[in-house]
Amino acid sequence: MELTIDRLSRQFGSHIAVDRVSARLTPGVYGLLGANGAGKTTLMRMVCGVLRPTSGEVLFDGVDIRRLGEAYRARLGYLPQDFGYYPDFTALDFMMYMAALKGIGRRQAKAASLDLLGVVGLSDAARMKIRAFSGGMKQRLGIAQAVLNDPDVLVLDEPTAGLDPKERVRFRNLIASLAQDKIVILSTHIVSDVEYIADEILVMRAGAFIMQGAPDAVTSQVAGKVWECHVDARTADALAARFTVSNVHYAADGQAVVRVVADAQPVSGARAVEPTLEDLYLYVFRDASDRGDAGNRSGRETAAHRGLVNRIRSTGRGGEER
Amino acid sequence: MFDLIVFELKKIVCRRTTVVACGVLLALICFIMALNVLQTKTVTNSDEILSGFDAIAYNRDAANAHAGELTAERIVDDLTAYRDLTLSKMDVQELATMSDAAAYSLMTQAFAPEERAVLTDSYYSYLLAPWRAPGQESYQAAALLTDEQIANFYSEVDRWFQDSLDDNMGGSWRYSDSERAFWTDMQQRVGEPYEYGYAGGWEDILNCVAFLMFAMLGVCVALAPVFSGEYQERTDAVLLASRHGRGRLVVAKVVASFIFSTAYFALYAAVICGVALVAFGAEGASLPVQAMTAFIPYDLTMAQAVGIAVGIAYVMTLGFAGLTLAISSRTKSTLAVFAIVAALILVSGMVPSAGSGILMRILYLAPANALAPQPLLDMCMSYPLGPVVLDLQGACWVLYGVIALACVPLAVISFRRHQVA
Repeated sequence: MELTIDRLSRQFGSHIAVDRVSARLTPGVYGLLGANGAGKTTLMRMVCGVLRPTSGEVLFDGVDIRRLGEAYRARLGYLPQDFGYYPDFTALDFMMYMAALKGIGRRQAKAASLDLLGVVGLSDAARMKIRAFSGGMKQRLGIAQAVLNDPDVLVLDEPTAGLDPKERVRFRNLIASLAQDKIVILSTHIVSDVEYIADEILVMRAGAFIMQGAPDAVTSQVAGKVWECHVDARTADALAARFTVSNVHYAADGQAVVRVVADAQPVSGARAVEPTLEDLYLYVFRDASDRGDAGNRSGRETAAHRGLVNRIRSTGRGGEER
Repeated sequence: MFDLIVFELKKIVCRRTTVVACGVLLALICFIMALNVLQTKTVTNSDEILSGFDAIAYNRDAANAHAGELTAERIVDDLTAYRDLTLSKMDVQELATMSDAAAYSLMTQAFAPEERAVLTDSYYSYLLAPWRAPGQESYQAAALLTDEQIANFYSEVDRWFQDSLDDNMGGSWRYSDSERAFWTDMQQRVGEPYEYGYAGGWEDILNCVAFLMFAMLGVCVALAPVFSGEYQERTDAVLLASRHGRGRLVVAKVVASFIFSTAYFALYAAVICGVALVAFGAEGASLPVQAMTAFIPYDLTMAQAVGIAVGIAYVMTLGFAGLTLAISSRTKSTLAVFAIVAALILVSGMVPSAGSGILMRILYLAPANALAPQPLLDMCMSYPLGPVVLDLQGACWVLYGVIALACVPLAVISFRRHQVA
């Protein structure tokens, strides 16, 4: 089973949301990391066939998903970002409705729906109207509907938004248990969501994959660029102003332990430490503004990031940058 | 598929706006129909004003007193007696020159109450219609009648009908030869002799059938979010990515929409017909529509006329349902969908034609105009399409049928091609 994203682009007017993205995905969990506006959602919509690409194509086992149509959608599970529900439906109604849409027989649908509602911790709320659900409950219901048809391709766009830490852990475990022999694409800008379960990380910026590879390989790209130093509070503030600081905590002696992501030693006495995926994320998106990543990239930076992709490519598990 | 249809119906029926709007509109028609019964008024021959069920009973008795076939002999007898009664106490020359108000005043002074009841009986008003000028009392017209005219009631009806065609709708529309031939042929097919009697319930339905446009409004409120609601509520992505999201779902939405439209329309029509037939009586179903007005050029019974009017209202409802779905599939704003369709239903009935025959023909296709009994049965509203002539009824069947049939595929294609952006 293989999902091929082939030079996929999507343009909205003059704005290029996704720019000639290519990848070959085989069963495994793919963590799609990127700041808001990086093009993750647009890419996922095209992968799910709900948004037509401006150019390029998505192939499932070598066949264009537009040609496959219903046959592809029957093997797809999708949790869109921030999607709506029917407030007058109960959770079970909603699951049964989605089951009917996915072509699951009524008897099997009911058993599977109740089972999945149990898995996502909504057994007691199965007959409650969605109107009364909290944001987290709705998100869990969304996850349950996405896996209702036991899909081969599971696309989850910001699935942990609105979940509390306990629910996030439960969600990660659920995805890990479901991921067997499936292609799972998990989009998020919360690094910890994918750090433990992703087999491969795809880092997206300004509509393009700028890094792609196994988490360790990707993370190793910032080896020697993550520093930790013990400084006083004033110096800690100064470091935060000058560098990308991934963590600050104050020790009992009043000294700040500052974790800095920087190309060179930020302050004398700082020692290089083992990087994490979060460090990598902060390094890559250190200049991305709050309002979105798209449009911040200069041509020079793009070229530099593409160079980084090329360096990582050989270490990637199943991905390929063309 | 069945499950999808049921769920789509549930989505339509459970939406709060649907429940509130359709409930209010249903309550409104119940109120209007109740008022219609309670507000029925009539004046007895003893000048007593009756209202509600008493008035209905009085009118029923008055009409039944003259029930039966209107043979030429009977018409001669009845009109001669009426003219004789008129002239027994009033002068023909005097009546010919005075206004209707003056004639009425003279009549009330000259005649006893039971004679006045005869002179103002609507049966005679009906018989004298071919000769009555606008603003003329029945007894004024009767006083001027010759024996020869009285003996040729049906010829006079034909003459009046031809005169009305010659009038070309007050000069606003020039009937073509094919239109004239169409209407003349229609009118000549009406069976003679007419039959007179009471058909109050059926007549009331014809008078109230235009209120079915409120049912169309309810349908539009309910169907406006069928597609646009999915876009607005951001459920479109998950629907369109599902196996049947671009196939069976769209069919289920359309089927559920038409089931709802039919059910709501049926409920609304049941209220109008039910109240009218229970309150005013169901008798007279087989009377010809000419029992209302002698000049109606349709060979129909009262029940058939009601069936046609309700049928046209139904096809209009389906047309507006299709139009609502088509617009809904193209826009994210449910309110915009409703506003467009509601304007077509309501506002088009309020636009003046300003004496333009073409504009009048367009405006009369709107439910508020087309479903009134006069244009539907009595106005000779025709639409010449080359050699083919359609009357208003035919034009409504064709127009709304085409709208329904054309809009559904549009909605289906539009939703299937929808891009979640």
